[in-house]
Amino acid sequence: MTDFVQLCVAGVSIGAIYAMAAIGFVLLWQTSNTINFAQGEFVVLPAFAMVLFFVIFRFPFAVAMVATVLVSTLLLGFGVKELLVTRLLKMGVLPLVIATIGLSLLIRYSLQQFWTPLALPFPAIFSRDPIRLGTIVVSLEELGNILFAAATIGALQVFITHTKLGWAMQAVAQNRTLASVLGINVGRLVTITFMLNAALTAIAAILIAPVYLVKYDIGVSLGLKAFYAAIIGGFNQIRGALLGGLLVGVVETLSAAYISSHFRDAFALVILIAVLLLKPEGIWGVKEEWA
Amino acid sequence: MRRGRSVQPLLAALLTLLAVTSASPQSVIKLPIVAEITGGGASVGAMWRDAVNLAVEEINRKGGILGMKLETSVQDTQTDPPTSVAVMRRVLNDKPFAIFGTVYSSSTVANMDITRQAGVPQFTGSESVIISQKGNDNIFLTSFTQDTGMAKQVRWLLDDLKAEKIALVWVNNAFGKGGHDMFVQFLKERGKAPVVDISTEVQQADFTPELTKVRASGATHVMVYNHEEENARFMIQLRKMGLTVEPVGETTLCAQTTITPGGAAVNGAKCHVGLTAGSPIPLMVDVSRRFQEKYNRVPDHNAFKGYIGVHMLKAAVQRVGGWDQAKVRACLHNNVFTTAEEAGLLMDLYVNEKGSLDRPSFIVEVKDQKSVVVKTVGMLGGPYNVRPCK
Amino acid sequence: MPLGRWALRGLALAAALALCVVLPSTLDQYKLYVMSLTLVYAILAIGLNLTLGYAGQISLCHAAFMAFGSYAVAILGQHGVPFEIGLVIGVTLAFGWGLVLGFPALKVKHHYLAMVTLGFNIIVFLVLRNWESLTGGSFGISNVARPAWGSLSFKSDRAYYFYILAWAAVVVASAYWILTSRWGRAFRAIRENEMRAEVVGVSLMNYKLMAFAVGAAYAGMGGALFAPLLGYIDPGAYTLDRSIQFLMMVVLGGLGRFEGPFIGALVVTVLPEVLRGSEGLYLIIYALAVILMMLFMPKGLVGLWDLAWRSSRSVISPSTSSASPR
Repeated sequence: MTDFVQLCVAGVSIGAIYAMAAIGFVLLWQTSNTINFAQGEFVVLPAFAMVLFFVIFRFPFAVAMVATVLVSTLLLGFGVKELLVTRLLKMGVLPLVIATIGLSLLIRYSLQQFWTPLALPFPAIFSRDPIRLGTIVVSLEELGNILFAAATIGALQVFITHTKLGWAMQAVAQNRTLASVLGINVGRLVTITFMLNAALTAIAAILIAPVYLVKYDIGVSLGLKAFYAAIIGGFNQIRGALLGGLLVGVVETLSAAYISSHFRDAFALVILIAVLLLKPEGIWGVKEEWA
Repeated sequence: MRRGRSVQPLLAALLTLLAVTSASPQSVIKLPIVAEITGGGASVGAMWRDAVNLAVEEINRKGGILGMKLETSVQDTQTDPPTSVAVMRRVLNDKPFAIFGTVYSSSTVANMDITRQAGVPQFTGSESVIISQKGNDNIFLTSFTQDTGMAKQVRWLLDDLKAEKIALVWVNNAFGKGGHDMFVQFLKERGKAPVVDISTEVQQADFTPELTKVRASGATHVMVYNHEEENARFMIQLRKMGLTVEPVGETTLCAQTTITPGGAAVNGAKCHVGLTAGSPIPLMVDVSRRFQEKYNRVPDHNAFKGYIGVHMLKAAVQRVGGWDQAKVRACLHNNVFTTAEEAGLLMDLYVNEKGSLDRPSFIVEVKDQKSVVVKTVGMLGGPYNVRPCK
Repeated sequence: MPLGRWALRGLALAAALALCVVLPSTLDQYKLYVMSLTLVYAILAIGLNLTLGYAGQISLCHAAFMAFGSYAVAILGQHGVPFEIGLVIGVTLAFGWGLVLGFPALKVKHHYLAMVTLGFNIIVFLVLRNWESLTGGSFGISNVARPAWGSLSFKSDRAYYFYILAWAAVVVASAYWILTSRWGRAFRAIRENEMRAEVVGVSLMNYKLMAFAVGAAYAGMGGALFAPLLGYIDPGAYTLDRSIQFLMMVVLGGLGRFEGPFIGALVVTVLPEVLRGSEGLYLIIYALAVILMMLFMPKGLVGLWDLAWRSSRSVISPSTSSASPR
């Protein structure tokens, strides 16, 4: 029984990380029909930036964090949107999907070639000392990840439902043409969404880096899990990303321990395929309209 | 005109290829390096390549082998077996004397038949046991395979560490499976079995399932057999969970590429390794220093393998007394080579009839984030006889 | 009298075939291998182009279909079963699974379909890796037998090249036939606009299913021919990365264009050889090329000669406008 709880805590902790990566993914889809296959790499690049600012340049942690978020927002948010997405959106979903696949490969192999193919250490943000609660052992790192992710998602939810910008985003998500007719500058809003996504992935990177270590290929598995999370939970709801992330994390961890570690990667997939066939909009998702 | 346009790129490509593969002068011995320079194996291939180049450079400076200078070239396999096959075929067109590479076992298994058909001896950095099981008399490993390595590992675990209950955590690919199968087999021969046997995936981030199982089993030792990054993550999480089980490993757990990302969490790990930069053997210390001078980084076991491979060739050619591929091949089977005759070998070694090695190895412990040698382990078998090759 | 587009294509193909038959006598084993590999990849690319380029169905699991062909041939070959039977079984397996996956293709669209196929690829990989007794697991299968008809053996590289060429010709001819038939017209209609196609009477279900299944069958064929070429197969050759490699191949060549797969296969196989000096940059160059292509040349490399072709013609007729499906 204690093992079960231990596994659940771990599953929720890693699931929180998946959720962080999945939220921005959902936002992008909602507002601009962009499926960002490079979402994993959007986390890897800020992780490397953190190493640059915090480990190499030795800025204080807060400064490094702010610098990373700024760089990410500029490059991966503003940059990607203006240079790639604006033009490609007009051509339909497929060219954009393919371009983001290309982008993910570009980022991944450029980091490998021009920085390093090896894993870089990253200092822990939260303490790693074991805290014993009965027979269960957790550390501040697990709890920190969960709390931080929850706080970010909560803040985002508040932003979406209680600010003008948030309402505008909701409007664009529901019906782009109508929103535009109502006077919302859709193009600018999409840019803001991209920048928001980039900021989110940068924050996720800071949480993820101590656990995953910083290596050019950590985005592959992370990006995949983010997709699973987004689709399982609900591709068009932020809390869907949270549910999806937690579900994927917990299922993965429990099934590896109790069913089979050989097929570890398959269980979340089975759920994914079941959801796609039975309720394609996701567990907490809402059926999409033709907009 | 339409056809012209589609044939043009083809012709251009072919012409370039022809130019590139034109014959070169015969006064040098060609030793191409076929390795993983890009793709997942980039760091491994780079170490191999750099060490081979270092060895060749040093040999050339001292006059070459039997008066002939050596020439290397580097070919990238992209860590992709079909590409490695293509690259190997291209390289064979140049009629090289021997080939150095590949390092990844899945590529080596794919391309070693072709080198055998061409009769060009191939020195590989692969360690997987399947390579020595394919009945190929043209392949020569530069380390021992998992059957020798795990035999030594189990012996050390049971005899030296007196391990009672051993858990086994291994990565589910050809490398990990080979090690797993051998480990379990040798344990079985001693009447034991792992109390936990759980597989992991490449790029896995969370090891709580593995760690909870290890904890629940009451294991005294856990044999950690993943790739380097995963080992680092595993160790960090092991310490976070406050487990008291003793981590032991074979090569990868105590490698520098595990210690650097894993940090202090890896301290206390004990491993049986074939090669290590922390080796106290003067010849190895010296090579490590020269490698660092030239390349500004510490060599890993893949670098040592490359270096030793070149000197294996040198020793065989010298013993044969000429540049004869068939004789060199025969010389490199069932034979002992010592550092007395060829210092570059760094340690005495025995090449068995399958092309795999038996050689002394080391027990290391990670202290202060460095791999420190605590004991040297002799060859598994022997005594072996030196066979002449003329 | 101006020849129709497809008639011109037929002529070009015949000429290319002649070239492929004559050229090998001048090539060494390395270039022969590269050509053989290119032909195999072209077969796979034709399949994916059919599914994705013509019928607009995203498939990220072509490597899995390829695996069915490869493993069928390899496993059955170990038991002495003739190569052709293994090939037929592999192709049928791939076709069958293509149908199975085709069903969800009806219910879901685009990105959802991408996820289903992606999931399928990963599951197939896991099964291949873990079902040791059947597939050899991570250790793979070596010495995959090449075809032999009694005393006539295709073991030599040159002989096997011609064997591959023969099957490639069959595949290309069948693709040509499909695309010039009503199937082809239906595919193009679906790709342009599903709703409109349905209104006009195109039975979406049948055509989508067929697109998937036939594309999968071609991939199975490619896989069957691939295994003996390499001689050794392991699950690592059939991962998601490989499927993405084929996707890039088809995109680079030109989606939904008949010549696309050939160019794509040629470029992806031959380019690293030509770029030999730039150690390590090929993948970066590909990725960049794919992005740039999507931005400026969504029709792929084929689009390049479209431009040249069009600018060299004095009369611009409506049938060559870029808006109309090809």
